[in-house]
Amino acid sequence: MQIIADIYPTSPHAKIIGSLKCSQFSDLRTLEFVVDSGATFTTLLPYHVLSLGIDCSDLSRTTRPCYSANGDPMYPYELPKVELHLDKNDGKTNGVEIFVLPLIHCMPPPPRDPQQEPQQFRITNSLLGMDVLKIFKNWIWDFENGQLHLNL
Amino acid sequence: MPKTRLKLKYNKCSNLRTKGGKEKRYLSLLVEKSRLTSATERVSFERRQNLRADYRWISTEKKKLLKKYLNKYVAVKNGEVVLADSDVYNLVSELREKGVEVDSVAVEFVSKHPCCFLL
Repeated sequence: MQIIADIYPTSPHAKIIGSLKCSQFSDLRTLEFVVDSGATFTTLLPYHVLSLGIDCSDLSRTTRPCYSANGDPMYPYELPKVELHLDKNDGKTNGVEIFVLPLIHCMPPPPRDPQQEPQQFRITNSLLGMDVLKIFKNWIWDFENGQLHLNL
Repeated sequence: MPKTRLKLKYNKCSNLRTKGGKEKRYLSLLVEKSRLTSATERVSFERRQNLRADYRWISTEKKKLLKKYLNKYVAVKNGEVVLADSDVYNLVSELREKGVEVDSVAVEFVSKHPCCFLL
């Protein structure tokens, strides 16, 4: 049983498409994640918070700080009760792995002030963190064929 | 009615939260489904496949996109640029105005410089 992530020639990072539903919407919404063993939790970054229409004003922030590379503590929002669907590849049927996660993190985009030019942000993929990735015992990076195989 | 195989696995999660002064250990749950049972799941599966194809298309057509949409955000659906804008907020709201489901399009910033991460 495995999940396959794509590695494009333009970037050495592995990316994977997933769908999620959560307490804020009941339908499945699709987004691209970067496979990030550096993230403790799966995290939605600003573009996806905007495009999926997640309202962070209703969410509480983490009580424990999360540290980025420069050592600054951050307190992202917690999105509770998330179901994440990833396509699995067993060579036969179209199956899906469903991860039921107690929470994921959200980093909203900068607030938009109509009086000022909107602050632009570079679109970065949301992060598929170790809360999901730790279940895969074996990872095979196949750069030649542009794939990362995550095996259960 | 197709037979569905459900396999449950608990993934020990190091997700510790302080609640009322107590630390609680939360577990994430993995459900393996060998077949897609509901219509919603099938639609969602197709959407993931289409989105994957569109991100591949962006990667292979990078040179053409650079000529036409340099320093713009492009929204791609079914191998076609449906919208381009230099403002990501406008792009998202215009997609919504057009009735396009934002999660069904691949959106990327077209730049000569590849995006580097420090995660």
